[in-house]
Amino acid sequence: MPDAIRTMHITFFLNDRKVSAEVLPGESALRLLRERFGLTGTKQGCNEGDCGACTVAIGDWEDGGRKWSYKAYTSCLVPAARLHGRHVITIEGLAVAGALHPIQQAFLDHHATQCGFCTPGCIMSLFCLFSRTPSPSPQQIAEALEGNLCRCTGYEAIRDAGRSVAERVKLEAGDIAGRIVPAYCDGVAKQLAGFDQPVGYAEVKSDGDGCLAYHAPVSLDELFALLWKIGDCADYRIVNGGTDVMVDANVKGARFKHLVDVTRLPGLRYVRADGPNVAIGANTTLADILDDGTVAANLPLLRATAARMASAQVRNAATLAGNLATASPIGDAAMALLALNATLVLATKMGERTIPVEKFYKGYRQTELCAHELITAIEVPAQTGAWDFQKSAKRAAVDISSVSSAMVARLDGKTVAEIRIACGGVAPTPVLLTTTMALLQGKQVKGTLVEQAAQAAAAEVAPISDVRGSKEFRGALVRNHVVKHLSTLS
Amino acid sequence: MRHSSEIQDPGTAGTSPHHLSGELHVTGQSRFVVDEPRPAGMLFVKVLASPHAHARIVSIDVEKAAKSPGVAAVLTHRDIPGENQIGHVVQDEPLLPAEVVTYAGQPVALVAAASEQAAAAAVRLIEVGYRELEPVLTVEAALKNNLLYAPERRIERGDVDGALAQAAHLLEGTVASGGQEHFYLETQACRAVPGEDREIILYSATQSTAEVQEVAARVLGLESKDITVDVRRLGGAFGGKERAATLWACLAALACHATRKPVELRLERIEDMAWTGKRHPFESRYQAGFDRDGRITAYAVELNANGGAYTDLSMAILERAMLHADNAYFIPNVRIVAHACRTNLPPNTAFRGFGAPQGIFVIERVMERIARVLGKDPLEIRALNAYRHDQLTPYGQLVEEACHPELFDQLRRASQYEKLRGDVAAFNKEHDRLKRGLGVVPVKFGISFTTAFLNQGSALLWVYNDGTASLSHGGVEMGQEVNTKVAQVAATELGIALERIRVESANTKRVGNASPTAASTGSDLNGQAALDAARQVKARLLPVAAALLKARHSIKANEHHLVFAHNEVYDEKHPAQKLAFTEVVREAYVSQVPLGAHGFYRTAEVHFDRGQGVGHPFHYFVFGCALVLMEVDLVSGNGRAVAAHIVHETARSLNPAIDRGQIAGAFVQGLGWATFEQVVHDAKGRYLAVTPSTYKIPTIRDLPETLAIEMVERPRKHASVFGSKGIGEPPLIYGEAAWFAIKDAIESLCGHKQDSQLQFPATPEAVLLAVEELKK
Repeated sequence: MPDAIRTMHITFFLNDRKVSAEVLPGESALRLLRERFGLTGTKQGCNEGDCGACTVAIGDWEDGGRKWSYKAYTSCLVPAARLHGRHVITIEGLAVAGALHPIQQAFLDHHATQCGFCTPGCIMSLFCLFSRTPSPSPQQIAEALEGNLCRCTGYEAIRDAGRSVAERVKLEAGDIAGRIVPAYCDGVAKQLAGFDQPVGYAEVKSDGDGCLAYHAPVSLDELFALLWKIGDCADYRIVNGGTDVMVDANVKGARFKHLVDVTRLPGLRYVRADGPNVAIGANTTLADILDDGTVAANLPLLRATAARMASAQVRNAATLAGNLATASPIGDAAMALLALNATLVLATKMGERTIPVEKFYKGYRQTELCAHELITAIEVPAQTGAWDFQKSAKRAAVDISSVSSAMVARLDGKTVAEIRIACGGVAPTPVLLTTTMALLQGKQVKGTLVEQAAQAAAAEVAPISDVRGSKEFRGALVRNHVVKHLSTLS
Repeated sequence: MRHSSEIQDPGTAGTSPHHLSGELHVTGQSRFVVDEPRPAGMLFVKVLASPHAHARIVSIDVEKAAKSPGVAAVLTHRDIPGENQIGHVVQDEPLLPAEVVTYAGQPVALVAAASEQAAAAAVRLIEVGYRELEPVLTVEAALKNNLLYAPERRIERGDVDGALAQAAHLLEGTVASGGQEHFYLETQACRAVPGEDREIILYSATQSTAEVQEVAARVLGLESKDITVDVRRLGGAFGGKERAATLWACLAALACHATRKPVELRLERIEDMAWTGKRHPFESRYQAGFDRDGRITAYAVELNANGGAYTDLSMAILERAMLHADNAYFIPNVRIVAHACRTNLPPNTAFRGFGAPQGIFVIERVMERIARVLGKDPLEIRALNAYRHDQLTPYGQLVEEACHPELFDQLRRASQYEKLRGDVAAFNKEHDRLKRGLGVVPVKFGISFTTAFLNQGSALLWVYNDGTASLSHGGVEMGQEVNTKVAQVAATELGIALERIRVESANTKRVGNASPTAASTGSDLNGQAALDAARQVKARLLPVAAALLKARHSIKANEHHLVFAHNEVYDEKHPAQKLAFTEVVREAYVSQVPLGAHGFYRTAEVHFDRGQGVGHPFHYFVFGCALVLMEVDLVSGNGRAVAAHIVHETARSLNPAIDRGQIAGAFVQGLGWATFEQVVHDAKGRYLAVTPSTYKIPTIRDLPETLAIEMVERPRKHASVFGSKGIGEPPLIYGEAAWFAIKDAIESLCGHKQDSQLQFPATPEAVLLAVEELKK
């Protein structure tokens, strides 16, 4: 028999108006926008965050309410419930009073639209970029658009349209800068500044698929009480960025009884220097990592790793903690954190414990996390010495690794005083190459040692063949990565 | 009468007005099939597909599914009222198989329910019993078992064996090229809406309105008059909706017919990628003889296409591969044999280039090897062998207006080729981890459907008495901007602003029997038809305008001197006295002059004798060449496009901005095919890379920073509407240059002495494998 579903009554701003909607647990923002609000300019291309056709801008007060900003998200991966108290701008909200937005005009003028299906998503990605960076570099434009697939144009015209807007802003032509963010946004931001309307709940009958209940606790106490009430670990899934959970729900037909959204837990989104460590809150997104000055100064390896992960839209949602907890053997962040010898802070109702990342993984998609436990923080020793990150994937940008690896080393003169190399895509979990590390310890990196280390690394892993590459290929990559890592030491 | 296309008003032929739907696209207002407002009571269709590539259906039990909440109908082959047959050219494909499934992903049953979720839940309750059979998956296995769609095809000229025996140098080898997923951003979709009196309207995402109409009627036991197919636009197609859309349209039609409710069928991305056919993988063998200068004297090639589970368009694709086996080169003695193999993969289908890229790749491989053997520059060898004016193709068509020697010269100048070669060599000397290489590929692409009768187009034009016009034509808009181009043609001929013309959806009621929008002929055939319609209306307006000029301005206007331009009509001898176009139209209307016209065009001179392998299959050829500079990272195996130079002959482009966009888009699509787009299946014939997280198409990061496109806009004797040429497919082939560039980069490791065994596509894995082999 169909189960009961707990629906939510949410309120948010959609373009220039305040709206309310009943949303289903596990329902995506994309579905809500298209089916309930009839805003079909936002397209469904893949339903798993890989094509960017559903990109929308979501405005929110960040930095604890200090900064209002718009970020691009693939709306298929955003739980609709998460829109509560936020501002969504869709492609329909950019042209104000019949006048095309400068980015829209540029797309028209540069013939940057062919079939038109990817166009709204591309424009929304650029809108978010320009709203934060009025005159972006060509590099930033490419970064903003790397998550938007277009099969028609070959991107040349799209690139040129983006660059032309940047040029016009620079030249201050036609008050372009003043027309990037629609005028109504100011008012929306103000109205959302003190927004504290609660989510309303109701129960309806299920008509088949879908999740049963969505929860967004606002304190750890509430969270733990909720998990206690749910009981069985198999009955809930923690949602942070949602970039894995929503794929499971949208594409893999996963049906969760309880989705527990932890993004409204206060005080978990931070990066701060903490003595010799950098402490990173569990809700810190990959985009936060890239934007953060403390990370840039103290953890260049982590920054370089995050830069190679996913697309701009997914980095805006995905969190570092989520990338660890999902326990994929090719979750790139694990390689950096293993090499950096990071420690995880895990919490339950009973209190906190800490555990080194290298003890975190137990098997394929299995971790040390106990029932009702979650990662609350990651503590990373500030980097000293040499480092290198290598990621190999079929497509150089925005692809999941075939093999990724990270190295951190400290030299004493020319001798290796300390070295850690972590590798993913070669075993059921991310691994430290301990044999290779031992081989290199106390030696000078030169001559045949490099080749010996490469062979040792290949010998201590056991990759499998799958759609991302054969085991032979992965073996070759491990060797190449190690050689490349060590080249930074000689 | 003065040729009005010479008047360069904005929007006329030869200018680059905005995309006709551009404002709608950039504001999100343009509607694709599933964006249209949902009719009340619409049902959603979900499909149960076979998990096996080859299996006997033992039982189908739909009882539980039928009782599932919200379900309106569960349908199998038993519920097909008409013929269970959706084949078109060859009728060998059931809509829903009764006895045997022949590919993984083949629809077996479907559910129509009140919501997508309810339909999906019910699909899981359908119980099908299968007895697995051995699948045939490869060309090799199919050839061994003689599983061919048709007897061997052959084109032959000269004494091939004799010339091979006498050649100064002889090469032989095998060449494989891979499949390619279309990855149109809009997945397969169709909405079917019941009309009155058995009528069904199909809003189908198809390139072939007439085919969908005909096949849906057959399946439902109806007639073509009972089915209307309407297509406003597609979110990309690239051939993937030419034949493949028919299946999904017919399933939607079946559900609509059974329930008499509006229904929507839309494939999820993962379904679309797992279940639908792709570009044909080819496995080919060749022998080539050449002289001491590098001139090819004989070429024997066997082209073998993996056709998948049904004939589909495989024979036509194979034929185009054969007709492009020579690419841009004159080969005196040549034998091309070809086989389309029946396998248990989803039926492989049309994909931009339609076999030509696969046929061309083999001869390009040969050119590259000739250069290596003689230690000569690959560009020089290609230029040496290129067609000269009035040489004959292997199938006996004259290559008139051949221009490759000049295009190669232009490419050399544009890319500063000699300097670039030096720069690349210097770069490779300085770098260990990174290696660079150059690849050059020319294109000679024949324009026309090789099935000659398809070369026809129709248009329906109505000029309203306010001076605006409605234009319908047989072409389907899918991003190639056929609508913009066809409207430009009509606007030019009528001398009115582009904004005055509304191009309607492609609809079988307004334009029946339309050929598929394919083979790079969309603008040619439909543009010519629209021109014909506009000329008819204009011819009727001439006496009206002349009479008006006389009455109004006392000008004794000569009908032959009347000019239609800028929304006005005037005698070129009396340019000061003008009539508004609207005035003339109103006068015509009240004078009971018809203002509508059906335009028609057929490409008269094309024919091809398949049995003999001779004829004149193409209206004209499109010529061009490209050079790509790739950089290979020897640690990861990734290639990166650094620069591309393209010289492409467009004749008199109808819209240079559109043509440039087609060149850039096709090139990047070809680059993806040649480098990291890889279609893989498991030993049971199930596709493995079925989401964009595993199948990678190019992103903006894959666009080379330098993409220099030179369009050669010279007038041509052999071209189409207003002197223009088709553009859609030929530039895809330039992407192959990326493969050759990667190979060149790898071979820098051995001083270009060896021929590396780089596989196609040049994935990082293929690159590292080739590097390791080379080091041995």
